[in-house]
Order: sequence, then C-alpha cells, then structure tokens
Amino acid sequence: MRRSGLPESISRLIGELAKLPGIGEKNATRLAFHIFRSPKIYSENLAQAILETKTKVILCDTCFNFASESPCYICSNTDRGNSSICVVEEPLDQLAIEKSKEFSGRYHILHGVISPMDGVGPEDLRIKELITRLEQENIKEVIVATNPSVEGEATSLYLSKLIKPLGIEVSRIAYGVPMGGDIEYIDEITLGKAIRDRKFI
Amino acid sequence: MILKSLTIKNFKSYPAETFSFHNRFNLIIGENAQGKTNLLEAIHFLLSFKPFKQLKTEEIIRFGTNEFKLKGEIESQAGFDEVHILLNENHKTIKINGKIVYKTSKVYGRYNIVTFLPADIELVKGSPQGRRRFLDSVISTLEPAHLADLKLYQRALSQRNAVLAKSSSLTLDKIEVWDQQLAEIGCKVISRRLDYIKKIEPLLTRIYGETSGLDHEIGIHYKSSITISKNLEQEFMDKLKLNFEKDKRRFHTTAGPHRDQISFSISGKDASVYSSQGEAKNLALALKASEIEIIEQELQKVPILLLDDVTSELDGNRKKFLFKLLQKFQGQIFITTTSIKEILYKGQARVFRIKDRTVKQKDIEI
Ligand SMILES: [Zn+2]
Repeated sequence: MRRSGLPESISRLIGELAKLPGIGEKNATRLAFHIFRSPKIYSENLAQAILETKTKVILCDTCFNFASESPCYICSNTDRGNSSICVVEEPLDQLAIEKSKEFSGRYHILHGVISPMDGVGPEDLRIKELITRLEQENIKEVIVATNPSVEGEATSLYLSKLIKPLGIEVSRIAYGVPMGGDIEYIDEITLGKAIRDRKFI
Repeated sequence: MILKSLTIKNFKSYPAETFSFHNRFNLIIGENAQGKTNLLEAIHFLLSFKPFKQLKTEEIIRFGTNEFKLKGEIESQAGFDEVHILLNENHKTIKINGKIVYKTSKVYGRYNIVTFLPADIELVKGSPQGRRRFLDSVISTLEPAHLADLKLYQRALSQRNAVLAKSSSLTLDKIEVWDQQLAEIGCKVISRRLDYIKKIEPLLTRIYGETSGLDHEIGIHYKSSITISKNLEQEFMDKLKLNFEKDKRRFHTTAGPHRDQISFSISGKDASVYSSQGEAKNLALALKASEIEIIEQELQKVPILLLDDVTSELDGNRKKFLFKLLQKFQGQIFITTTSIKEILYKGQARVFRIKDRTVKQKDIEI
C-alpha cells in the first residue's frame, strides 16, 4: 500500500509491522507512530530484542522447543519423568501445559500440523525426530495435545497409527467444559464434545 | 421476539438512519433500487450477524466509506438486548449489551428469523444444492452444532481434496486420517438431516393441504451417496475406500453429504420434474411456513419474518394463502413491496416509504 506524504522510513516500518499476524494497516500505523514518538533508547531496545530472538534463540535438538541452549532446561532436567512425552503443535502450547503443572514428563514440539491445503505434510513436521526419540528413549506413553481442529485431529490420528505399532500407549487430551464455568452458559458445541468424551468415575 | 429499533450507519445505500418498528407489521414501500431490500438486509445482518447471501465486505459498506455500524434493540423472553455490529474491511465486531462477542459461533441462533426471498420459489424445481442449503440452514437454526459440523466437514473435505490433487502416487494410508474425520463428521451431518426430514414431512403435508386446498401427500426424499444403515460411519469409511481410485482420478471426493440429493414429491411424483409452476410455488410456500412452525415447535420461540418482494412472484390464490399465514402468525413481520395494493394484510401497520434516499414513516390501518 502507498502511504503518500510519509517519510520513507516510517512508511517502511508500517509495512513491516503490518506483516505481523493480527496487525492491520491501521494498527501498524498507530504502532509506528508510537515508536517514532518514544525515546531513542526504546527503539534500540526493541530492535535489539527482535534481532536477538533470531540470533540467540535456538531450537532444542531433542524436543525442538525454543531454547537458549540445547538440550533445553526441560530436556536436561533429570528430576522430570522420562517415561511420557506430551506432543504439542507450537512452543506456546507447551508453555500453557507447563503452567497447568499437571504434567511433569517430556515434551515434543511438532511446529505445525498436517494441512495439505497449505502444503504441509507429515514430512514437514518434527515427526521423524519424534519417532527416533521413541526408539531411543524408554517412553511408555505419548500424550497428543494438538488443537481440536480438523488438522489437529488428523495429525493426532496420523501419530497414533505410527506410534501404536511400536508398543507405546497413545492418548489424546480431553476437551470440554472449563472449570469454574456454569454448564448453563457453555455453548452446545463444547458441551456436546464434553458429553461424547465423558469418562467413568 | 421483537426488533424495537434499528440505527444504520453507512450500510449499503444508507448514510445514517434510525428506524423504530411496529411490534406486528412493518411495510417497506418503494420503487426498485430505492433501498427497500437494503433495509431488510440490515435487519438480517443485525439478527443473524451475516448478510442474506455471501457478499464481500465492500459490497455491504456504503460506497466511499470504510466501515458500517448497526445498532438494534431487541426484546425477547430472555429480556432486552442491545446489539451493536461494526464492520470494516478487515474486522467484524459484535457487542451484545456492551460486551464484545469474541466467538460469533456462540451467538448464532440467539435470534431467529425466517426469510421469504423471490429466489425461494426455486427451491422445488431449482438446483439440488439449493434444497440442501435450505435444509441445512433450517437445522442450523434449531441446532447450532449442525452449522459447526458443516464447517468442519467442509474443512476436512478441502483437506482431503488437496491430498487427492497433489500426487498421483498417492496411497490409501496417506488419506486415511482424512477419511476417518470425514466419516465421523459427515455421519453427524447426514443423521441430523434424516432426523429433521422426518419432523418436517408431516408439517409439510398439512401446510401444503392448507395452501392448495388439495389433499396430497408430500414426501421429502434423501438420496445419499452413502448406504444408510445402523453403522453409518463404517459405511462411510468403506465407501471412501471403495471410491479411492475414482477420487484420485477426479481429484475430488465423490461421496458424502456434500453430494447427497434432496427432492420433494407430491402424491409420490418427483416434484422437481412433474410439478406445475403453481404446485412448485405452493410447495415452496409450504416449506417456508413449516420452517416457522418447526422453530416454534422445537425452540418455543416466535421468529421474526423478513419477506422481500415475494408478492410479485405469486398469483391470487397463493397470495391469499401467504397473507392468511401472516395474519395468523403471532410475531413481528417485515415486508417489502413496490405497491401497497399487493398487501392483503388487515390491521395496524407501520409504513416506511423510501424514495430518493429519504424515509418517511407513518402508522396506518390497512
Ligand atoms: Zn528440549
């Protein structure tokens, strides 16, 4: 888009910001002006931080999570259980599960899901590496925590077909009613899923 | 459910306008291309959060502006709602009673409307997709989960077709994960269609009798590409496996609810082939009337009716039937027409006369 009248460097900043997910032209302009008006030290810190995510952050060779060293702090933590692996789509999902404090095993980050429409096949994900881990480590259970989307389900089905023959248990996390939620106010779709995935108590 | 008022800003032909509506009968009169339908469209958008048809955002926002706003006050058994909708080129924001709605799927079905559009006349003789879409939209109103499943199904289908399109060296195991999902979701779609067909059929026969004055049995026939049996999901999987080579050659999925055919029959004869124009129109009207009844029956709610210039498509007897139906109906009605002479309704009404971009409103007795 042309932004007539604006100095080229601001126009370029707006253009780059607008490429960020969820940021439209309007928001990008607002952000760019905010950066322009802030003290110089702020721009320096921001630029530095952006640059460092590319130069100082690496992927852990074992679980493929973002890390500052490999193996990462989770993979090198001997206090954590080593008989189960939780498989997630993205690093953010791992963070969310870690925050729940319900899981103390290992993780494996796929970096995406199978999506033929977007040209993403199993070979584009860290699946081969997962299988290698399963062959080398003494894993008893794989918990698949991909999103409840069509692609997340397909990926989970694909993984279970691949892993079960290795004699390892595969489970899928349950989806449903959030804690503290009133059943009356939960939409039918979530509730329907929760009823279908009910468990014996 | 009653729409008390509507404020429009930059929606299609309207720069800014506020309407306060009659609880029963609202008559929108104007020559063609004066913005009658646009008002109906705004009401539709407010209550269902989407336009009549698939339209691009820039087709809805008034030319030369970059966002539109709708504000409506709705009264229902559940209480009083103030709904705000703001749409610009990249975002739709819905606020109900001051609270932003983050997932539109959670509010679909909150307000119920039934539309009568000129194109509905084509339901009986028109394309099979039209009938499928009609049935799916009725079911989605009654069970929002159906709409969610249709979307998931469409997504899984596109993914499967993308696999088919990609490689000729494709093997069955590469497509299995999609087959399984297509079968699981598709099964729910087919089952719901069959359930609701059973519920609508007797209503349709009765209402068709009332429209035509004739005693005919109306049938709704669902011809599925999957063998309907107790174990539908397995049948579905088997069919996909069986069709695999064919699908591979054609680069798309040839069986499933997206291919299933729905047809009507009058006294056992296929209405899409053998019915006269009059019979087809009777049946289309009866279909719409049964949509109203089934909403009342299943949801215990009275929908709002939106009728867009339908009287021009109907002859004397059918017009009489339509107005008999509207007269008996308990809820709120919005109807557009080019001439008040077309309107056979009796009672209090509010008239909105639209001409040269101005609206004049007046309460009358017709
Ligand atoms: Zn690691």
